[in-house]
Amino acid sequence: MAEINTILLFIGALLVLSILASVLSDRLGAPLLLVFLIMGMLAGEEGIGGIEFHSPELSFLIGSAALAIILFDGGMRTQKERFRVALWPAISLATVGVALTCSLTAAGAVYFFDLPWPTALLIGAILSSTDAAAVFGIFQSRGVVLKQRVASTLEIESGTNDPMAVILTMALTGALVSGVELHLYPLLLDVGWQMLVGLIAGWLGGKGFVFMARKIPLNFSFLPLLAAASAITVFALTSHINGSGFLAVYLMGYLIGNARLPHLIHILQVQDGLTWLGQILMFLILGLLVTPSNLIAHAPLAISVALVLIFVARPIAVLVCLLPFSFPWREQVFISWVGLRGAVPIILALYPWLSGLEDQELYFDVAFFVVLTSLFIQGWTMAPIARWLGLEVPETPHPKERVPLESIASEDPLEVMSFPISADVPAFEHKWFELNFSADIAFAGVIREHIWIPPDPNSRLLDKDVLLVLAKDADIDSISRVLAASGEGRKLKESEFFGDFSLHGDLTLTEVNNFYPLGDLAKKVADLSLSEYFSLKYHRRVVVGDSLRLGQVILTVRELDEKGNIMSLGIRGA
Amino acid sequence: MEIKDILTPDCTLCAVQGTSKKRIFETISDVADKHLPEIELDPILTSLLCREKMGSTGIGNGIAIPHGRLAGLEKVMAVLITSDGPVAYDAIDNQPVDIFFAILVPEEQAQGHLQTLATIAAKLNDKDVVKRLRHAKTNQELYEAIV
Repeated sequence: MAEINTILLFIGALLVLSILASVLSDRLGAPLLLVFLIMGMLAGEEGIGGIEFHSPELSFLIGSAALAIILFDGGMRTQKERFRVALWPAISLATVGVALTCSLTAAGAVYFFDLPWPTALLIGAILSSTDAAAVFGIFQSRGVVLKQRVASTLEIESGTNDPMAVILTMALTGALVSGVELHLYPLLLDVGWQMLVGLIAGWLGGKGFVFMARKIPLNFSFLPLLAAASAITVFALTSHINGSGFLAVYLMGYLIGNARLPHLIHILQVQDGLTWLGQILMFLILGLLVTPSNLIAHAPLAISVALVLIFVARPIAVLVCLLPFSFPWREQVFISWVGLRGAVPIILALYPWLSGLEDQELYFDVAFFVVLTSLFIQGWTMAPIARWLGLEVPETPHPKERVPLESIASEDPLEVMSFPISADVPAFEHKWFELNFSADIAFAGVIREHIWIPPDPNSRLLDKDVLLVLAKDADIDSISRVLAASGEGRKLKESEFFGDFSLHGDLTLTEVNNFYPLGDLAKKVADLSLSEYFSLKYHRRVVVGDSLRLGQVILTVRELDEKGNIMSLGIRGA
Repeated sequence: MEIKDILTPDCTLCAVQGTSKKRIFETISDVADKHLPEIELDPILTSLLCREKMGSTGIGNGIAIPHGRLAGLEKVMAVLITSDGPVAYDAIDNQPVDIFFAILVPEEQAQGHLQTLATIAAKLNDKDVVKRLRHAKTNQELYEAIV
């Protein structure tokens, strides 16, 4: 009994301390995951905690479960629209990119340290997948919103590149253990098979869950748990039949997230907590597992590998993979820089360890060190670099809080939303009936100095009021434009970013030129519409925030329709 | 550029009766036409309406900056109008408009055009200025609130 209590005490105290330490991360601008990793190391055998923990099996178990939950969550938050601009570039990065990163990193290790090729390739494979959760956590805490082409590419890439890394790592470990030579053809076949099985299982899992959620009357506290349990089941089943479980749960999450389930927000809220728990546990346990003094022994190799990976392998892989998609150079630079390594490499480095490979700890130590370096160098500099490259766009106005009315069945999910009022909000100092909305909305009063004031048509909306409304989930954008401010504090303001005026996307350049000086227009573009002209310049993948300078004028894409045609553009002087 | 370089008291009208966007544009053109004896009323109205078709000039918070380019105009001129009630305008934030700062630019003087507009927009971003505009009771008060 006493022993169990001690274990529980350690687990509880570690979680509490890690969560409290996350405050530090906000203060220092350090990536949160780095904080958890360091907490684990501090608690470990050579830290102040002095906990002896040497179980790669348990780490692997927790790590896999956590990764499945994290990827499932990532899939649920990937909106359909993101695929329009980023699906193929991301897939190119997730397949060819992973293979290239792996071989280039291996080449570096062979060149600088004379490692045998199989060992070097295994190191490369372990390190070849990126982590978007880490990336987006950092941007969220800084309040930076990225242009969609970059954000979606990074996000979908990291959701889909784990399978490739896992497959390469397993195949190379297998070859090293058995001593059988590895051939390209069977390897490719294996990759194809794992992905295919992963896709089918994920599709079935996703559709199956949506069907269940709609048909079976469950207590709504169970639903998020059912989602997480189903994801783990699909993950394990898929892996069992030699498919890619990671790909399966990502796709499953994507299907559930885009099925417009009325319970979705509730699932996402619980999932958010589970994902954090997964992240914290995983990083803590990896921090516990590592022996810091061994890290020092492998430091020269690990640092060189990290530098080759960050400054050579990733940039070349990105350049090659994005070649067919003609991304703007600033975005390529950023995608190259943000190949952030997260937990996956450390978990993958447990494969060789579990398989009893020679030098088993080498892989783990190198992976651990590279991830630390990557979190330090890239994690810390990411947000400033995004600003410097001009990839930040203004945040779309949105409610502060949303409470779904999920137990009320309706065609479109209904929500109660809250909007804090300030002088920057269009509705400021207006009476409710003076406001115009292009969607249906019901006024539910304001909270003023912590007291709810029921709807009164004659009272004005004042500073520090919190306005409550009832509206459809689908109308959130048009409502927020009236009730929420754009760009408070350090954030980008819409009017500064886009300009004060907007133009329709279907105007021709000649028409615009009649009012604003666009300079000398080439004959072949003069008759194009603004939408067509941007498509031409951006190779059909236009996103909000893309801008072009013509003469004295800067045009910036402001709104797109579902098909990706430009609805409106901002115009401002150069 | 200062506001008083382009706006004169005779082009400033307070609490105009106007129930529609079109009606307001006609009033603006009328005022400008009286101020510019050498220019006809029609081209002014056409120019403003033409620009409006390209996208609304309502910049939000109940403010609009309609503008147009005019042949034969010698220098940039402005017309400032407030309406006695908000008018539906299809503005960027969907809200009706009650402050109209119209600008007419000579056709040849295209270069500084956007700069002028940005200066005006910046001025109208100032909450105090807007408050004074809305509280103005006479044409003179309105003029003094902006210059």
